[in-house]
Amino acid sequence: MKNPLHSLLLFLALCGLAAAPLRAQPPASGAPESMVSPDPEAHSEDDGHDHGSDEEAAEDIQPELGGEFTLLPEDLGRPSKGLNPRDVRAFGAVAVLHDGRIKPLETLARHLLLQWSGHDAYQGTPALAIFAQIVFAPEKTGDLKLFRIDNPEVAEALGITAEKKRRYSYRQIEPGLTKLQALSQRADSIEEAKRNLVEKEVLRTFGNVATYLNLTRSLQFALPSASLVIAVPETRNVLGLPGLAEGGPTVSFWELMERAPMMAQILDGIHEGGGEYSPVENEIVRLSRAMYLQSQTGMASPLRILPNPDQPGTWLSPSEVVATPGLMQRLNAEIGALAAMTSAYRAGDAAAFEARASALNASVRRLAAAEMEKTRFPLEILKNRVNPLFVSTVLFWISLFTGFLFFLFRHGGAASRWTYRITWTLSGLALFFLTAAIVARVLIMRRPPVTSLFETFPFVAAVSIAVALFLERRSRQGVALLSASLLGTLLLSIANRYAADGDTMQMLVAVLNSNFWLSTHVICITVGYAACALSGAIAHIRLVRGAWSPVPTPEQRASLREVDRMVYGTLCFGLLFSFIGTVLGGIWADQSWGRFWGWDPKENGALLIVIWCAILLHARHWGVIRETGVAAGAVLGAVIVSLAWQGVNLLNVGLHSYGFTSGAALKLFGYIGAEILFLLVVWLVTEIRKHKRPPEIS
Amino acid sequence: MNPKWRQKAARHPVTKAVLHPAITLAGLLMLLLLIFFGTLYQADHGLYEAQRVFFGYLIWVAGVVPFPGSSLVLWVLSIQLAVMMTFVLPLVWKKAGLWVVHGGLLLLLVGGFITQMMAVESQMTLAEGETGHYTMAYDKWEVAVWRQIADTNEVLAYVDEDLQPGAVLDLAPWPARLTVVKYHENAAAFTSTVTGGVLPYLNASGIASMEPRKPEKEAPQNAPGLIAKLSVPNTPDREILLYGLESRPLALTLGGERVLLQLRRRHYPLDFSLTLKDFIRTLHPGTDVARSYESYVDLHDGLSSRPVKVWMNNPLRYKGYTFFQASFAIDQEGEHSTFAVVTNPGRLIPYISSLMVFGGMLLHFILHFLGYVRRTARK
Repeated sequence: MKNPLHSLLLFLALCGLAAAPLRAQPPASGAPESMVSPDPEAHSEDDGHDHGSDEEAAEDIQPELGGEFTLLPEDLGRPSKGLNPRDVRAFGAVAVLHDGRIKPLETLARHLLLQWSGHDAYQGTPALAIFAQIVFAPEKTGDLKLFRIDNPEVAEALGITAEKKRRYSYRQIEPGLTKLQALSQRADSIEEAKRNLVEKEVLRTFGNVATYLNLTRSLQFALPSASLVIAVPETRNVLGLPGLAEGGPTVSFWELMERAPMMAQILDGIHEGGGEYSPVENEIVRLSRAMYLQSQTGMASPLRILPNPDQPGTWLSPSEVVATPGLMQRLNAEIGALAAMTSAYRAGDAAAFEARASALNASVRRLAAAEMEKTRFPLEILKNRVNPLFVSTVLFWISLFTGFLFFLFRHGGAASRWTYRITWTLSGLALFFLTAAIVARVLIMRRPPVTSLFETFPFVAAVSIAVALFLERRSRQGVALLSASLLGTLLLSIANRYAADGDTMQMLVAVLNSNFWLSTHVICITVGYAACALSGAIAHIRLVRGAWSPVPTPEQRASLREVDRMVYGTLCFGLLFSFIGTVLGGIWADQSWGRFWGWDPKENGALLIVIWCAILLHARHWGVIRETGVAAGAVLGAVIVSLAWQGVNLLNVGLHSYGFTSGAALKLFGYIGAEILFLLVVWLVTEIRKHKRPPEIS
Repeated sequence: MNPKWRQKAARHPVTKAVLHPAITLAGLLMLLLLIFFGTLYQADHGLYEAQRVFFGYLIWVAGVVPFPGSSLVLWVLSIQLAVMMTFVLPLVWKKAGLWVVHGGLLLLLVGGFITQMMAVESQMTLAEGETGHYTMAYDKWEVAVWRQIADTNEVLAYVDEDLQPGAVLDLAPWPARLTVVKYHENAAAFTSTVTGGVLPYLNASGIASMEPRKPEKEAPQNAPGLIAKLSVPNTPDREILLYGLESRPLALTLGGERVLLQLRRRHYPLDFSLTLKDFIRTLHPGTDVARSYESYVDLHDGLSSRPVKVWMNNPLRYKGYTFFQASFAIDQEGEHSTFAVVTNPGRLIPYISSLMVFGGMLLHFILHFLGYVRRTARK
């Protein structure tokens, strides 16, 4: 295959020459390319290599917004047929470096859409298909309602009439973009902790729209361009392009690049001949100049899918590669494959698209063999498709429902038996999916199961539910089973809310990086949380039952005693693991900082749990409190767990404050209030019922 | 099994009073509250201040209501533990777990006490190529007086605890002494143009006046100041001013010799030294999230020298000192690496004691858990 490789550099130099005398002229009107600085020198070559942090990059790639221009073309001159969601699957397996981790594009597509809209699919279309459309046929995505703006004040500030679903399209936001940029700059200058909800929403929205716009331009070199219009039919003949009727007036940068030798020849002729330009020559000069400008507009985009051959470990977006002739030459095959994928997508040719995507994949795997070896793409894609965490959540919700039915039909023979079995099976299945989700993460990230605040929720849920199901096997009363469903729905619902923030599989800061003490410390602490949470959950049911029959029959008494034993046992379990977790945290701190105990809020939280459990066990031992007291104590224990687990993050001090989330404070206080109210109501009901019914004589 | 004297002592009313469950439960509950409110207080006032307030023997809530501080509560609980173990806890195998747990707890408290009293935390910052012979305190200060002989400094130092007004610091072997006039734990210093170059104090940086300030939230951020009267025989007394943030020492001529004075963070000399060869920071690709910090140092002791790598979670331990990679700075002068340095004679006690508590609990709970499994399996 004769590739214009060696002439690429020469050609671009010629393009620069051809552009030189024209530079003083105003740029072609209306085209999106004219937005960028018309002086090509303004973009030094280093720009393409600049890889700051993602935050930095996010600032780098914030487009310059000009009010009158549209940043997203409505028409590229050649319509796109597009592909079915099923046909773009091969695109999902393309590797991308994002947030410091190499992941399949599928994951990125899902998390971006989740971050933008709150859903990981758009009206039934999978995220990947939307992502493919944004990249390959951006002109068609302007009206998709992708951006969620919760705060009506923000929507109003942008001149958008607030809608019920709170999701808006780019075209709706576009008229207010300049204002949005100004607002976000102001919000950005405020210290993070001091930003209010509106400011946070402004920053989030602007970041999302900027990312979207950057994505629409990441394959610009392969898209037909409004600045590359061929009006003279003869030019098409000379360059061997399809006729106007077949293709449309516009061509892409890459289509011309593939014809670089021919264009170079013509340009050469002009420079030697001098005199008047022929219409074809004139057009070629104009095209060359537009190409040069376009090649220089490469901006960093989140689509970092090409390994940098010069700097192993860094990855580039296609536009950065195209902006640097040396890189374009080295990654010619990959860029070519992307261009061919674009054409295939726009032509609706599924087979060609898949073949080119596979070729790109194979070639990237070769270029970054060492890095790709550490990934587990098939597993990650499977996990994305199945979404075991979500499946598990749904199963828990159903099991909660059937669990309540069981308690209604408790003495109803077949109905009771069946609801019990169904609840049991559903909970077991849910636990299976939950475990699968945790194991998949461990395998993909190659690190212990709990390393971030998000990961504590599925893990605590899994442990407490496993213990609950074990207890249920032994007691067969349905109490532990219902507790499992309760905890499952509650904890996983919280986890799913965290997952909406984007990719939850993030890299770790140095101090949290894999360390034996750290992983064991965190696991033990979370097992302690799990035990105390379970103890609290069982205690709730115990208290309700106790209040219902304050003067129990002997049969009820035996059953209650069994439940009391569970509450007590899980408390002991919680004390043991909270203690060992706290101590392991101390060992880790001693190994890392030289102090066993530093009064860090999270350490203090764990210590609170230990002390509270110790108080309960001693008080029970001395007979200061009885069964009901222990159960009430276990409910308060769950409150202390919530403080240690969540409340500490609200303080925003100390080494552990990695999980700050706003609005959580209100929910936490709401929870604590509800528990106190619960205990009060239980106490009142017990008292009232006790006085109504005189004690039976036994 | 249980000796007579123990049985007798256990029944003694004093023992019963000391070990009253209400005391233990109230103590634990107070500890719970102290930790909870201490954590909240820390968020607003900083760790040093929170420790000062909550670790005392009494806390005055709203200035009037006394509440026991952590030290008092921990002493009471420790005494209870000791009494309980000496006289009351039955010497039977069934209680073996409890013996180990409570023994471990007592040891843990003793270890905490030793650490509180004897551990020293300091730091050492080195530029690449620099050699360090001492570590520096975070929040403790000293007045250092020295002369330079060839490459070495001969240092005489007074620690900040000694700097009470009226205290006399004898500068022997030089014929001079200092009498402390004022010492501020935290102060702001000002230069002045009003005096027309005539300064009221002898001072190296042209400071004309000093005002006391409220201590900072984090004690290491304090900048102390000292004003002292310098008495040299046969010359009129003069006042000198030393300020913690001064970069230059005050130079005096005493007995015909050039002597330097400085108020500086306390230095702890080492009998070995470290040279920083290289500091390396690695980031996760495409982000500015650090993956690791590593310092390559040479450890010199006497005539021997060996290379050591110090990085996150992997400190250098030598002669009772532990050096941790704590921080770094990169500026135009190059790369600096900061080590946190700790000496703690009680370092191993928490390891042993918490292993005891854990083992004891495990023993106790396993015995009970097996009972539960046996009971429920029989159904």
